[in-house]
Amino acid sequence: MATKRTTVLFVDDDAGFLEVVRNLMVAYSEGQWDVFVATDAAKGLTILRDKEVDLLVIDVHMPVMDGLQFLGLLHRRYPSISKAVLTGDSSEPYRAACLSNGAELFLQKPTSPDGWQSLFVALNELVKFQPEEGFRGVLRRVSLQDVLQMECLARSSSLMEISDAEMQGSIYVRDGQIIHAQVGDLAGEDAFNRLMSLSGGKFNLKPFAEPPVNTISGSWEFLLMEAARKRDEAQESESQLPDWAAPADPGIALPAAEQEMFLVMENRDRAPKSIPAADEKFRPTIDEVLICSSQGDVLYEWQCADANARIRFLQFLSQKSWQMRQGLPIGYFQRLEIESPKNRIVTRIDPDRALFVRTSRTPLEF
Amino acid sequence: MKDILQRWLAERTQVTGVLACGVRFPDKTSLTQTWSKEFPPEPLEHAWRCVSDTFQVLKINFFPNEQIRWVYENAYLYCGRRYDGVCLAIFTSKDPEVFDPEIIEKLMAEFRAISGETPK
Repeated sequence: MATKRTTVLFVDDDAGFLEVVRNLMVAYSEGQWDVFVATDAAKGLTILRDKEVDLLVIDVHMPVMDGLQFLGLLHRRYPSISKAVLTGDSSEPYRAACLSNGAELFLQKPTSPDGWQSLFVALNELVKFQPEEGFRGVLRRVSLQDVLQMECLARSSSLMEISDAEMQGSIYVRDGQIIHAQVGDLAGEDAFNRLMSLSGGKFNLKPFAEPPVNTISGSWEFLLMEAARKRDEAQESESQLPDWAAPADPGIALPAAEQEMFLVMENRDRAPKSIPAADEKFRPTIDEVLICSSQGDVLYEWQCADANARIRFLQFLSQKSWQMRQGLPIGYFQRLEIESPKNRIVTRIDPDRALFVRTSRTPLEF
Repeated sequence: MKDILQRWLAERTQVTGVLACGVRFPDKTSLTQTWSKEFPPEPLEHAWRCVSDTFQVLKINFFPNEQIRWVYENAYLYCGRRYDGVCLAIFTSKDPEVFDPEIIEKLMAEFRAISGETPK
């Protein structure tokens, strides 16, 4: 059986370094890696559009575009590609900033033969440690529309499978043209619009397969515009905030029983003293709330000083919580509780949305 | 210090409900103690790395990070970080019949109190 080849893209402004890294990585992988190199962000993006890259390794200290910004942009546009940062700056704050912006590995540039070998081993492990298929359980700040647009712009051929709790459908793209869509009994543009109107769920991009029939012939630009218009119309007619997302009045400390429901989302859990569910001497006051969709769109926010930073944190958390359970019988991630004497943060990540709540403890007056 | 913590993990964490635990140092090395055959060392070491990354990201986001608890479908993961950057992570059962959460209080307190001297 043929072994799956690995495609790796290195982006670094040092052409000499890229030449060395390409030769060594091909040699260490015994020819199993296809190594592409780019000397700037623009060339890197061109390769990413043309090739199916498994791993992206970037030097974040490059001219023109700030490296962290570039990393964040790549993470939003290409969430399923594993990313590693290779740099000479190994300071802890810088490392943390890279991890927060989507890097899964943070490595120093090698200076010895052993270092090069270690670099290959680390990157190879990361490639083997790919996320499970699709976007499930992983917050991605990229929408179905973005992905479809990229597929059409790149004149790709692919099959996109889309599902939520109630339905499952497909969109077929051949040479950059949307040629068929189906969901339930619907087919053609009706099915396409129905699928594009989903506000949550998951989608997988698969290799192209011929559809049973071609039902769509219009331009993809028009189709996407029309779907967006219909979706906007539908959203306008619905309430902006779903019932489950509405705290009674975040400005007022809630009664203890309601607080407990909001903050302790599994009443069967028995929390230790250090992570209290409710405290007799203190009343938790909600300071900040953010709820976002699996695409990273803000559904609700209250007193959130930096929603983008919170979403990045939830993305990071989603990625780490998934990585953490690999090989361990601990089941699905439910939530993270962060505790200090005065504050408490609870985050919860579901397949279709994520929640961030920060509270402080106010002493009860007797 | 590493020897002391290795001994502490072996001697003090064999408690009902504790499935596995480990310590991650700022130099990226780690120690692992597993009490369940379903928690093999290799994925645990990977988990300790994730824990350490999380503390770093919490720090740059100015979130309080003295103690965190990951809640999974079948287990808790309690994590604490010392002033010197050493992290402790403990996987426990979620079954209240076999696991007393107050044990974690004690273990975290002991972990934070361990110095270069032999712990009591």
